[in-house]
Order: sequence, then C-alpha cells, then structure tokens
Amino acid sequence: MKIKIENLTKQFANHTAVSSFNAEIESGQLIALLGPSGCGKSTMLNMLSGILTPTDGSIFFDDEDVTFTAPEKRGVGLVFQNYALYPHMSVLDNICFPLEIQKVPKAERTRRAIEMAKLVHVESMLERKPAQLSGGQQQRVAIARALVKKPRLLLLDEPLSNLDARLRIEMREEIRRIQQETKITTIFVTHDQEEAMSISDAILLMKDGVLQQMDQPQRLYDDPANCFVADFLGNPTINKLNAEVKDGILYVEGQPMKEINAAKLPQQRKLIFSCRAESIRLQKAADGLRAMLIQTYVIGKEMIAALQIGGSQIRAYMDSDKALPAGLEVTLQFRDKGIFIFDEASGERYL
Amino acid sequence: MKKRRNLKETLSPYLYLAPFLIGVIVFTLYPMINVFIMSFKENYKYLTGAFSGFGLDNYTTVLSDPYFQQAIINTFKYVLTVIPISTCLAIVLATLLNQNIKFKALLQTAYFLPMVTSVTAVGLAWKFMFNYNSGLINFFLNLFGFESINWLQSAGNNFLALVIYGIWSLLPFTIILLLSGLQNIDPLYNTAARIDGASPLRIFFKITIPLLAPTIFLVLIVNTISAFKVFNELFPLFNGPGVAYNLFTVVYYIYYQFRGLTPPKYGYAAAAAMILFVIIFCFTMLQLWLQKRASREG
Amino acid sequence: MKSKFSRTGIYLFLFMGAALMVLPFYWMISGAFKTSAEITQFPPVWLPAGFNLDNFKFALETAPFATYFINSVIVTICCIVCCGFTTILAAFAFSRLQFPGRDLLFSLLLALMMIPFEMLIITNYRTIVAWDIHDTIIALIIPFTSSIFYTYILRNFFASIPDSLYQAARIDGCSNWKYLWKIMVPMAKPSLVTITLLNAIACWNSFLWPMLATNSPAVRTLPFGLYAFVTEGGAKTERMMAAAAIVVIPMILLFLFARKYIVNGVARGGLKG
Repeated sequence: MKIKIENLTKQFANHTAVSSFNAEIESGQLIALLGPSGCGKSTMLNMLSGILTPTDGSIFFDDEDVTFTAPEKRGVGLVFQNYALYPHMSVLDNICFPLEIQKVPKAERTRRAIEMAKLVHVESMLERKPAQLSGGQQQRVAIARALVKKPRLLLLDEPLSNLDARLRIEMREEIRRIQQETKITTIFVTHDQEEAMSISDAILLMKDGVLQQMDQPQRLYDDPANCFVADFLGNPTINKLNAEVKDGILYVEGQPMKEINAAKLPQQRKLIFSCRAESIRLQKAADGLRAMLIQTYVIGKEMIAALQIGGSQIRAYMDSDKALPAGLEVTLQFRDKGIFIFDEASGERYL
Repeated sequence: MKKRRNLKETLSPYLYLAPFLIGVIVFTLYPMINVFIMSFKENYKYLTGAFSGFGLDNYTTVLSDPYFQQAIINTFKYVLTVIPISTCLAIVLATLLNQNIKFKALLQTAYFLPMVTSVTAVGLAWKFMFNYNSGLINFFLNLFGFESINWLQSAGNNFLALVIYGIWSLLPFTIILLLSGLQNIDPLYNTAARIDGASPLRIFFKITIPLLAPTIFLVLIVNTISAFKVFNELFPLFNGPGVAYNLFTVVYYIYYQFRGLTPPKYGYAAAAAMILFVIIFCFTMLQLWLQKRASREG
Repeated sequence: MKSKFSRTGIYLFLFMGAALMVLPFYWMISGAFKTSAEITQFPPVWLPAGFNLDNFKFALETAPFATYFINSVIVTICCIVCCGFTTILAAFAFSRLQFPGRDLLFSLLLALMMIPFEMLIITNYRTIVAWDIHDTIIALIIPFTSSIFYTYILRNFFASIPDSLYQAARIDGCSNWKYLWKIMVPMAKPSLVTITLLNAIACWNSFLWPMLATNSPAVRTLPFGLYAFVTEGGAKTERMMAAAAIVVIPMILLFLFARKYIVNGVARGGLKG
C-alpha cells in the first residue's frame, strides 16, 4: 500500500511536535523514521496508526483519506517499544487476540496465529507467558500479533531499543526478512542511524518536527541536504572545521584551501567545512592543510588519527597501519567525495 | 476540521461511573450534607419535619450535656492510652518479626488473626476471660499473687478492660503496617551500621526508628482516627456503655440520641456527629500532610 | 554466646505474644465444647473433657443461627459482587477514560473518603426507612454497593498498566468494554482478590449498621444475631462461646487460606476499610 502524507501538523498545548510534514512512501518498502529523541517521530507514528489525531494536514492510504479514521479501521499493525504483550495471556492467545476481536472463528484464528508464529520463529513457545520469554522472543511475538490480522501497514516503534547489542543486529535482520517475505509496507521509528542505514529502503530524517531529508540511506550519507543530516549520519561523526571566504579564497581554520572553487560560496559569512573521516588523506610535508597529530588508535582493523587544526579537532582514517608519534606535523589532502560546505548559522549546504 | 465525537463516546465515561456515583451520592454525599444542615435545625421534629429555625442550639445543648462531655473525655482517654501502648508494642513486635527468624509464617498468622474476626464475637470471648469468678485473667493474676479484679461490673475497672481489648484488637493492623514499612528500609543501612560496630539496640534506635518514622506517624494517625470511633466493643463486653453510662463514647452518644431515646433527638445526634467529624477531619488533614512530607523525603 | 542467649529471648517473647493473641480464640472454641460445670470451674479447665456438641445444638435450636448464617452469606456475597462491579467500572473510568472534570471529581471523592460512616448512619437510617426497605436484607446491602476506598485502590492499580497495552488493543479494534474485561480485569486479579477479601471481612463482621437497619430475626446477620442471642436469651457462657465460634470460624478459615492477599492488601492500602 502506498502512503501519502500531506502537510501533516500536530500541535500540542505548548509545542509543535510535527510541522507541515510531506512525504510519499512507495508500496512494499521498509522505511525508517529517524531522528534524535523528541524530534516528533513517535508523534508521526501515532498519527499514522490513528492513536493521535493531527491538528492539520491529511494522510492517504493509497487513495483513501484516513486522517480521521479510527485506529481499528485503518488496517495497521503496531509494534510497541515495550512490546505491550498482555501479561496474563499465553503467546498463542496474544497472537490470536486481534482476530478474536474481529470475531474470526476459533479454528481459523488458531491456524493463522500458528502460521504467524512460524513466520517469526516462535512456534515452539506458544503456551508460554510473555514473562517467560527473552526480549528478542517478546519482540517476535509482538510482530506476529501485529501481522496476524494482515495489516496494510506495519508500524514499529523503536523496535530494537530494548535489546542488547548482539540481539539488536539479529533482530534487525529478522525484521528485514519478515518484511521481505510479507511485502507489507513497513515504517519503523528509530534514533539509531546505524539501524536505519542497515535495513531500510529509505530514511525519513526528522529534526524538531520537520522533515530534513527523505532518500535512500546511502544517498543521505553521500549527499546530505544540510549540516544536520551530514552530522547525524556516519560513525565517526563528520568532521567540522570553521571556514570563511576572503578575497575569493576559502580559508579553513585560517589556512587557505585553493583546491576548492570559492566562486559559488558567499563572502564574509561564517561557514563550516565538513569532511568525512574517510575523505582525508594524511601526508608528510606536501601541500595542503597543516595539522598536528594528537594521537593514533586502532579500532578493530581500522586505524584512526585524531588531529588538531587551529581550534578544532578532527578524525581521519589512516592508510598505513603504523602508529605515528604524537605531535607530528602532517598535511591533509581531501578526496572529492564526502566534502561539504555549510552555512554555520542556517546549516544550509553550499557545496 | 475536527473529529466529531459521537454521543455514545461522550456519554460512555458517565455510564461507567453511574452505578458507583449513585451509591456515593445517596449514601455518602447526601447524608453528609443532610447531617450538616440537620445539626443547625432547632427543635427539629423527625415525624413532621418541622423546625423552628437555624442556629447553634443543638451544638450548645450537646456541648453542655454532661453525657457528651463524659463521652468526649472517655474517647480522648481511650485514644491517649490505647494508641501509645499499642504503637510501642507493635514497633517492638514488628521489628522482631522482621528479623531472620524461624516459624515466621506461623507467628505472623497468630499475630494477624484478630484482624479478620468480628469485634462482637471475640468480644464475648474476652468477656468470658474477664469474668470475676471464673475468668482466665483473674486466674493469672491469682497465680502471680495478685487479687482478683472485677473487670466488667466495676466503674473503676471497666475502662481498663476496654483498653486491654482495644490494644489487642489494634495490634495486628499496626504490626502489618509497620512490618511493610520495615521491609521498605534498605538492609544496606543495617549492614553498614553493623560493620561500623553498632550494637543491635543502637541500630534499632539510631537507624531503624528514624527510618521508620513516616510509617509510625501514618500508623498513629490511622489508628487514632479509628480509636475515636470506639463503639462496637462496648456491646459484647458491657452490653452497652458500662456501669451507669460511665463508658459513654462519642459514637455511642450519637447512636443513643436517635436510637436510645424516644422521641429520637436527631438534631443532637447530628451536632455530635459534626463534632466527631471535625475532630477526625483535623487528624486526616494531619495524616495527608505527613504522608506528603514522607513521600517527599522518601 | 550472647547472640544465642538473645535469640532464645526473642523467640520466647514472640511466642508468648503470639499465645496471647490467639488465646481468646482458643478460649472461645474450647469453651464452646465445655459443659456448664467445666465452664464455671476455678481454676479454669484448659481442655474440655470431650467434644460435647450440646452447646452448638442449643444455640442452633434456640436462635435461628442457620438463618443468620445464610443471611450473612447472602449479604456478604451480594456486597462483594455489587461493590466489585461498581468499583471496577468506576476505577476504569477514572484511570483510562477522558471526560471533563475527571480529576476534580476524583479529588472530591478522595475528600469524601475521610467522612466516618458512623456520621452518616443517621441519614442513611432515615433513607432506608423512607424507601420502606427497613428491616430487609436489601437494606443491609444497598449502602455498601459503592466504596470510594476500594475504587481508589483499584484505580491506582489500573493507572499503573502501561498505556501501550490500551493502544495495542484499540488498534486491534478492541472496545473499551472488552478491553476492561479481557485485559485489565485479568491483569488486576491480585488487587481484585485483595479488595474482595477485605470487603468480605468487613461485611461479615459489620455490626452497627445491621443493628440499626434490622429488627426481626429473619433478616439478622451473624454478629448482631449473636448479640441478640446473648442479650435476649440470657444465655450461659458455654452456649455464648458456641454461638461466637459459629461467627468467627468462617473468617478464621478464610484468613488461613488467603493470609497473603489480606496482609498485602492492608499493607498496601494503609487504611482501614
């Protein structure tokens, strides 16, 4: 099912949780609703599910306007952050419950529930109570319960945040698998960029209730719309250096950077020169930005250098695996990819 | 565009509340207001509903009635003896029951049992035990070399019998509350004090009691309120308010005004009830204030 | 060595205290089996010579204790069922439903909680007389069909159930009514059991109201029936004990079976019923 969100706004008593949100989601996609906590992504999800009514704007499922449709009539499945399994019911009863409400005959609802349990691999624990399950198993049951009524749209609220690191990777791949097997349009909320990058077809990145960018994960990384997007995605976080254009030349931390054509950049404005850690090449005594090595360290197979330029610190991946002495003077050269220039005040991207 | 709430949706909360609210209005709110108004009606005649005007007549009559004064004195005397003794006893017993002891379930059952039983029925057992000639209590007194006491038929002693019975029946509830208070105290404090070399008695007075203070206050207030309403106990023990009305209590006075007199004096009963309410209201306010303070500290 | 000594002391003290707490019950029940010769003996007889059921027989024959007992059972069951029902509905409305004035109404009810029932008996007595249900079983039930205190306790439990459960059920199309009975009530079972037990004990032992509201033996409940038996019959002590035992034993059994629920309820509520 295709989803169209038009000008959606949600105003609470003293703040605007979502403002003028526009997006179109293709059928059968797995979409991540990403953003820092408090950015309005859960409010978005609750408006899609119908738990909250928007202040303004509309939501369309295919061509049907569901803006004011009651939650139970929307045909959505919702998986809660804390799973919201009914503690007094067995796994099977939990999965059956939505069908029981719909008055599906007992034999059929059991059959469908078992089918769902098989899909999410919990068929061996149908008689257990939620308290006897691990976090990951509870998550699977919650997904089965959301899917059993064959929803048009599956919504997951922070589905992995209550799991430990190892299980998180396992479950996110499970979510991907289940989504691909069922081909249900799925939207999940997360604040973890890695989670969003790794499994989604597209990411909707939000900040302060405003949609910043919607695109495929890699495009968001390679071609961010503004400073916030560049900053939010990527680990280590993107490097930021103070920059300014004087007399047609870009100065980064006070040093001229002639490689970059400054003609299109505004004069006399505080700018941010941003570069990904993998876009930097460390060199000895060649032309380029001078920096001082503070420290080098190894994380797994990668070696990272921490460098001081003017008043700022940056990180860069090193080509060699030899540790270098602290205090060493190096010069930096940049690849073409992964270099951006933003406006410091507005975050607007110039390059 | 606003989502329209249909009539059913708007009404449904009130339908859920209706059965409950009807009961509360008819049997709590209305009587409350009615008693308040009635207490100010002068020369109120129950049968005709006639009264001569509003005023403080009932209050002045009740307050100057020697029986009511007796009732107030008795009630306060009862509260001031029963509450301190039962609270101190309960603190000691609860602390001991909270230790790591054997037979805990058995002991707790024994201590909590009186809570569930009828005041009237167990009161009869006490009456039997207080019996002058063949009672168990006089037997024990004689055993330890004391003279028998006429517990029930002597105006000098029957108050003591009432107090003993009162303490016995208050203990279970008090112990339960204090025990749950004790269980909420982090055992780490105890361990820390022991490591510092404090003796058990020191720990009890310097650690346990101060940390238990909010619960102790709560127990004091709740028990005080219920002790102010002492009434039921009078029937099984003394068949009424003791010898020559010497054990009149406030609730008994209210009961007596409209059930023991012909014609019933509803105005007096209402005024006495209002006075009782004011006393209890003050204590409840104190309780709420203390609870708030305790929850702020805890 | 010192700790062993004090430990023995603690046990001695606790067991003596426990014996004193249980003594009246023992004395009542053993007294019920004594003959009139045994009961007046001094020093007292600790163990009756045999299981002599004459006293029970006498009590049951002279006063309609069977009727009292049945009345008590009826009143208690009706009270806990009706009160349970109104309590569940009201607690749900106060914890889950939105309506104007909800919180104001709730605080008003909490304020009403501090009114002693003893103060209301004057008007309530007149109400049941005016409704012409004085001296009927209904008069013993109707005033106790709603309880602010139990509603308050249950509302607090209901409020602790996470919102997400409610939303999950609503997305599945579950109505409020169904959600209440299928999800909330089963989850609140321990609280409901506690409330019901406390209520049952209070109903069973209630004395002041039945004494006011009933006259005829046919509608009396046990505690007042017992008192009437004692005053009217001029009964002998051993027969009184037998009658008292009939009143007390059901509650003792209830307590032995459900001690945990009752004790937890009292500890949590911190208030008397």
